Amino acid sequence: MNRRNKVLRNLLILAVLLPPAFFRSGLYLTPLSAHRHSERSIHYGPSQVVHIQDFEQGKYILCKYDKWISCNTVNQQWLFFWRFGNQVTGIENDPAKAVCYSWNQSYQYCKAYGILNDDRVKKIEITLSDGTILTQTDFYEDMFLLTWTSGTKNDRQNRDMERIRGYDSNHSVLYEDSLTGSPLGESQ
Amino acid sequence: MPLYEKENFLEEVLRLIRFPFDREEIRAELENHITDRTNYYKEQGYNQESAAGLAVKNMGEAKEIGRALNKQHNPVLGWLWLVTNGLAFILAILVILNLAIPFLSSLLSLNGIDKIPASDIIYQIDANEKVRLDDTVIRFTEVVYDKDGDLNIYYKYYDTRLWGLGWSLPGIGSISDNLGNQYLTGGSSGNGGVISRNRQVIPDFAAAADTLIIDYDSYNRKYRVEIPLQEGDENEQTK
Repeated sequence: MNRRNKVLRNLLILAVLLPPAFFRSGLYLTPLSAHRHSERSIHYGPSQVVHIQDFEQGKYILCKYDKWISCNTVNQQWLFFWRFGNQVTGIENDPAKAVCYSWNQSYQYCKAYGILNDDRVKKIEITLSDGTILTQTDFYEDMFLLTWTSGTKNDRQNRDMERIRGYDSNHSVLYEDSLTGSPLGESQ
Repeated sequence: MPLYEKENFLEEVLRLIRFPFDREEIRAELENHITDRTNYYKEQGYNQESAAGLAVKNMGEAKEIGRALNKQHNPVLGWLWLVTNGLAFILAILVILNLAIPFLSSLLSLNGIDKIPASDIIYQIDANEKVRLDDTVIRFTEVVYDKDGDLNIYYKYYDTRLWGLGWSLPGIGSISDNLGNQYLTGGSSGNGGVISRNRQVIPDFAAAADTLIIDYDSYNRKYRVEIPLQEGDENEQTK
């Protein structure tokens, strides 16, 4: 077999091996593709993507699906690829509450997200255990997403979410909830 | 100095070969030619030194040969061959690691889940109930009720997209019986792999129940499986 034929043979082998090698690697070419596969694989969704936000490890994908809201993460891998993150599934929205929310933590990356069931809520404010206050006034449709970090991977700080408030345009509190204990889905 | 001439000739030819991994092969081939010609001239009555000198001289112009051989051993094709060889090898290893090994491991670990000793079994039912969640097929294969009052549900599941990776099954659903009892699931174990074999233990299952009900209702996915447990059922294999 001459070299030209050997190259053709190799290219044929690559064409056959590349798809299974790629798909079995758990890598995806786009964050949305990783997100969609992650949801389907865990038997959730397909959700409607409301907002996508970058963070150090990849992207947060804020979503609605029927009566649930979620904030999936997908992680960037080797610059060009994406893979499943965590906290794929959501929480059930309780329309009786002015604000329905969840917060969770994966390593040092924390996020609080939720939905505003009362359109008079114009500002969301969360207070962390170290006294830091984070606010959001520009919402994504009727959803919000606040993110922060609790130190670094090797030097974690206690920056749990302790309180959430929803204010109206007159700065009156329409919703308030205080938390204790560990966040949902925390992984070390 | 025939040896010097020969080395000079070879160096000059090889300098023009731009695909370095072919140089050794070309050198060996040229040396063979020179040796053959040297032997020929020796047979014609020349001494070793003259024969070797003539052999090199009659090989032709080194630069011309070098250019011709470089064309023949196309460096672009050479590098393409080398790179695709490496990639094919790496991909083959990846496919073996990621696909073939889990698949074989699933096939070979038929008894990967702990079996209950026959002496501890009160009854054993062969179930053959298949349900589907998105791309996942779940097959309930066996139900074993043991002396401790635990009901053991054996099941396996696999992803119909054999090339894909995904989350493991979060759970089989809520467990109840025909008497209206709801059960908390106990420990579960599984062997992973392409076809994951699992056992879900339901502690303190009612001995009098004659139907096991597995109900899955999560995020708009639903299934309901009813497995008859009555003694004397044709599927039963009482031990």
